[in-house]
Amino acid sequence: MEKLNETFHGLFSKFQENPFTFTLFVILCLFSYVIYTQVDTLEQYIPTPEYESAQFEASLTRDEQINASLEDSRVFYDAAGVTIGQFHNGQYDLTRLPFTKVSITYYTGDLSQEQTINLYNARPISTMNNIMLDMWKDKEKPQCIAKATSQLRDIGYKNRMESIGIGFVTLCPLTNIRNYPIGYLSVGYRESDPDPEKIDILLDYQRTLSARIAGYLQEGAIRENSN
Amino acid sequence: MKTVTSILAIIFLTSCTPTRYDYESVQPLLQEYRTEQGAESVFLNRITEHHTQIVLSVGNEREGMYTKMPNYGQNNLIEAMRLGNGCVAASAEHISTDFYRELALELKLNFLILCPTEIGYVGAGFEEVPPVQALAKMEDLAGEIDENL
Repeated sequence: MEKLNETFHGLFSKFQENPFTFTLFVILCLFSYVIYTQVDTLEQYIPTPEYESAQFEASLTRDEQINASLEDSRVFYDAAGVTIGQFHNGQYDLTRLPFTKVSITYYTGDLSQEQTINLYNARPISTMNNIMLDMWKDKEKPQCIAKATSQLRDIGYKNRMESIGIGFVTLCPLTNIRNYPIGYLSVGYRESDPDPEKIDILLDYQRTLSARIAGYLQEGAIRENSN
Repeated sequence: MKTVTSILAIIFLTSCTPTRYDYESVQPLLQEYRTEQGAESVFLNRITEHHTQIVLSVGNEREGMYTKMPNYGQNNLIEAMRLGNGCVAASAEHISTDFYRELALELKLNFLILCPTEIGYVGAGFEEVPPVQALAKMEDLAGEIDENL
């Protein structure tokens, strides 16, 4: 009992000598103790090589499914190209305001090697502002749209389509399970004035195709969370 | 006793296993689609919890095509219909399950259109890529099958 009393007094005098360093030391001891007791729990948050390998394999399978779906659709539509654009941030201005960008993540089509050099470059979503507004006119229920290239109001997007000889585009929104926008699926055609009945069928099928693609992309996300 | 058990087993199997007869009422619809769209083959596939099986077909046929297949290693096109909640147009080369891919290619069904129905799906195989209108007609056919079965 006397020894305990001595220790307590010793600690108290140390605290009086230098309260800041003493408090810091105590906090450090408590933190180390928490780390020591929770090391097993913390380990679960560190990805294992097996986990990362499974993730990589899952992404390869997902990409294979998406690429096959796009190739089949392109052949069936007799289209010049089919692309998936995904929204992201990635860069910030000096006040930490994020730049919203879109990147082409999947493409199948007949572009030449030269034409695909800049295809996968990230672009500001603002370069497609009008077409995005058309798709997301109703935020709860975004819709597929069809437009002749000559009707496009976004100069940057219009120029890109014209430069690769696209006369007509159909676009469908991609959303996640919470209906949050994640990107779009677009199909480009060489012809500029397709038959309206054909457009209805194309849009109808593209709607199911985009739901399928969103499903492939999301299942990857679901798998990530559940592992 | 063995004879009685065998008879009971046969009665059980014949009453539980779907036969072509159960679906023959929709055969004219399949035939009509085949003629109008120029498909090589039109078929009806039944999906249960554990199996998938072609139960009716018009056009190109092959021995063993009506074999009941287990659902494990699920066909990617069935998964595609489920995810998209609609029809699928796909090249036979992209079918993930060996049995159906080999069957399709052997029967010259190089390009397929499949649409979901209440019992599974209805599909058509074409030697060449069909016009997009064939998909809309297939959706109509799926609706008619659901009404008639």
